[in-house]
Amino acid sequence: MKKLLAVALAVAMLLGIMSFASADEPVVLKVASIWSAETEANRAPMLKTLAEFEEAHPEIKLEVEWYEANAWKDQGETLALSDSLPDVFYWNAGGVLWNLVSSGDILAMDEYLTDEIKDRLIGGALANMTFDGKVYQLPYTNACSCLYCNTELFEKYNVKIPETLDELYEAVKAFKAAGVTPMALGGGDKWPTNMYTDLITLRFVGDAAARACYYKTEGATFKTQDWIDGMTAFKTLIDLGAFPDDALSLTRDESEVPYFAGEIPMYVHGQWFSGSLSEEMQQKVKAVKFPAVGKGHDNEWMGGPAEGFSISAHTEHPAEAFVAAQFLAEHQSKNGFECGAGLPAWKTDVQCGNPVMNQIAEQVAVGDSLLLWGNTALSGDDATLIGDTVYDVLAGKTTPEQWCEDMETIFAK
Amino acid sequence: MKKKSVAGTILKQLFLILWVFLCLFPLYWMFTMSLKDTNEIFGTNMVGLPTQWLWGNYANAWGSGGRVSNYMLNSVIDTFATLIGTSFLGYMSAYGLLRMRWRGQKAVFTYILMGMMIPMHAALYPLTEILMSLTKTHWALIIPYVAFNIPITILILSGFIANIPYEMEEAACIDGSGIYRTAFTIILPMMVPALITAAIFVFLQVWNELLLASLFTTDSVRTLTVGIKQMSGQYQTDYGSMGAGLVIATLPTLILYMCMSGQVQKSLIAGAVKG
Amino acid sequence: MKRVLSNKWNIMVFVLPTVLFFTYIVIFPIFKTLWYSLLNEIPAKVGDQSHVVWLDNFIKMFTPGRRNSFPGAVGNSLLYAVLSIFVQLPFSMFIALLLANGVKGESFYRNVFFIPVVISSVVVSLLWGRLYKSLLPQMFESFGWTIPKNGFLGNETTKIWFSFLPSLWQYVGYHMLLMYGALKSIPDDIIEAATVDGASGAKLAFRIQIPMIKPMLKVCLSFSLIGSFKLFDTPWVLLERSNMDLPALSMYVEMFSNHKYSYASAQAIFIVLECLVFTVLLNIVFKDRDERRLARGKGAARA
Repeated sequence: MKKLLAVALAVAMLLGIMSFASADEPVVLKVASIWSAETEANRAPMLKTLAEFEEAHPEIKLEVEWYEANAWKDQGETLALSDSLPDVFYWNAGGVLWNLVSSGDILAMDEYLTDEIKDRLIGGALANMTFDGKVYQLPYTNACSCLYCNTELFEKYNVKIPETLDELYEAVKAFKAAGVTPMALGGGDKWPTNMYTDLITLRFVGDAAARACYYKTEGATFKTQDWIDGMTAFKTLIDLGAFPDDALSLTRDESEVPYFAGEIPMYVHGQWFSGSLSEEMQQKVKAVKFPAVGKGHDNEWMGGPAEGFSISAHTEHPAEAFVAAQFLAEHQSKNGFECGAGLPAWKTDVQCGNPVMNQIAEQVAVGDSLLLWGNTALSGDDATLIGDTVYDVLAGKTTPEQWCEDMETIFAK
Repeated sequence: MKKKSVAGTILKQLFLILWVFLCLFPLYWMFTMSLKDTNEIFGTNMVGLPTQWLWGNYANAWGSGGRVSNYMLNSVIDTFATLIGTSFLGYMSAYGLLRMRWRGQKAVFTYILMGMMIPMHAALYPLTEILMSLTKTHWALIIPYVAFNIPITILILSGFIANIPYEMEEAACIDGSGIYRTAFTIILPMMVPALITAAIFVFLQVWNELLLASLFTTDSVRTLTVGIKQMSGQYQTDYGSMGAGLVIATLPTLILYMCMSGQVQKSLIAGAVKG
Repeated sequence: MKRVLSNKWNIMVFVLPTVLFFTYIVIFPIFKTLWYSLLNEIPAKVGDQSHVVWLDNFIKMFTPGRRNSFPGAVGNSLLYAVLSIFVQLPFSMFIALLLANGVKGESFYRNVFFIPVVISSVVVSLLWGRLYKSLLPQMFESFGWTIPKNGFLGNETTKIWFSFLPSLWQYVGYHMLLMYGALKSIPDDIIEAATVDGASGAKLAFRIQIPMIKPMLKVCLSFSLIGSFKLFDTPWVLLERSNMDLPALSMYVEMFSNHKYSYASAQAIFIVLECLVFTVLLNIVFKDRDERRLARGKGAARA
């Protein structure tokens, strides 16, 4: 009898210890992040964010897989089809988010998203990640695009930094005459061209009409004179020789090399570009609003919080996944801003050391509106289409009118 | 008697030397690019030898920057695992299909050989369904690589195995060894040249494979081909390191080839004759 | 011994694992792709809205339309096949003949010419890509030739040709080696007899050597044709993102960028059919040769 008791006690103790042990055992979460390349502006801040998480949450262990952005875009949706998405993962907002939400692959965060947490976000942060009133992503950055001017080159060739479209044409002509390629463009990757066309057309079409088109609202159409005028303005830039001769075959990275080398004076691109500038370049480059056209839409911006972290609907640890996703989003927002990789999406007192990023932050803060880029608001082959169509215009294969016809086909589906 | 004209011979040699140049120039270029800095590559000194030999580029590509060392390790693992798989399964099934006697063996043999005509593309999407959950491991690549290379392996083995007389099995039988002993200790050693031939063929297919490798690997199991492609995106501003990465990636196959050129060439011809 | 070799249990052990494995990974997916190609979209994506549409996807693939690039892609793959068969193969043959007929440095040349084949195609593509973007433009300029508008890889009309070049270059050595091997195996007495009769050079090649290596030519043609239809690696690395100017590229983009899985499956099935059809055609064209070879008692029957 005594023996039996002893055994029972031992077993009980063992069970007790085991439950202790498993209580201590950290929950393991699989995380997918982009920025696998060392040169990515967001990588260093992300590493810092991950280190901060390790310290703050020893009970959760993150296993991070790094991807290159384009590759992850392709692979993520395929993983979703076999329900193998990681617990927490980087994703874009807008149309591509809706794809996964509508197929039930993303967990709605509302039950964990307290008002206190929501208060820490900047205004309108969740606009592109909320569907049917439910939130499916937490942003880590606010985005927008603008015109980056290398003031040194402008001074050297005595060119005025353009504030209107006509001044932009003049600037292009002046640089061209001096033998300088006026604007950088990685046409081979297609989406850098959208950076240009989205902003130019926005000036003509306006936020409301463009928004209707990109979100495929009832009654929206690309076949208006404003759209044609916008694309014609883009074509004018092409015809004036604004872009490099081989823009069609350049990748985004390749196209930026001459800009970094101080050989190209202008570049229209997202705010993250300011983080890629060297400290020396940050002193020379001025970020300005895209030139005005005079149709009442000159203080409208493209962008908005358009990327963040989402949670897989099939995760086994939703509560922990939320803690991780929220932490990563908020801290990456702070760290990224601090080192100039992006604009913050969460309220922060941190200052940015990058003067160019500060310029952008100031201007966009007083902007009239922020509209998500066409290729992010749209999804699937609509998103591919808007890349292909601007590529065709750049290649001289189609006219602005034909571009509108081509884009109109997205409403036929 | 062969008529030889001096002019003809000189012309022939010139032509051949020209093609030698065209074959080797890209390699020379790759090597010099790996040691230059970006400015030289870009404009000032494209063709000549580097003014400074920047061996640092290699450190960059190999280690934290390019991580070529990891990718190479993964390629080695995947390729050799595949070779083990194709050799083992290929030999077993070749033996069963061609040495043993049963009804329908010809049909099954033809069945497997027909599979050879199917390019991997055709099965791509369903393969992703089957393999996606394995992408963090090497299995996601090894499994399809083995499966798609079994037919050619069996085909190559079939040619060689036909030349082994059945006396071998008879003798073994008389000696009292079972089928497994016979297959593995008697016939197998005689098939080693055949297995090597098949292995070389499969090696070339698998080491350089790009499509499946880019879909079914995550960073930790990425192979060399994908790693290099990715590196090209990463090193837009550092062509020297990219060149170094390319050299590192090419060196093993080059060295292997130079050591075994005779065997490799024989192997390919054999594979083609059967195919 | 017969009993041992016919033992059903043993046979299964030797053969069954491979057959099952092969069926599961190769055959079963092909049929699944075929099934998917007949649907409007796969169930995993649209749930119960998935239904059979028979040949709709295939019709869609070939319906002319400004944004339908697939017919053009097929055309490009045939273009590559033509270039390969009428430029690359003759060139390889020429080199193979030169070497097989005996020149100084025969084995040196043979070894060197094969080197491009063992280099990974990604490396080849990246090297040529760099060449197109730096060295070639400079060369053209110094010779006073005009560079194609928008660059070698940007110019709409010529970029597809330039994306073919690296592959064509790379595999010359491969075809050359195969033809060389076959040429070398022609019995010496036949060559001597012909030379005594006065044949040499071109006549020898066209009348004797080439006809005698017809089987190997068939192999080269096979590799060439099937390779053209499947061509993926080099253009993928060289051309712009989401380029759909070749069937394999189109299939890849439709599958992984546009997520139109059924449509992409239809394109995949088309590629397979192309390969099958041409394999059968080749077999018919070369049927007589095969039968003659069999009659001579050489070699096993080919699949």
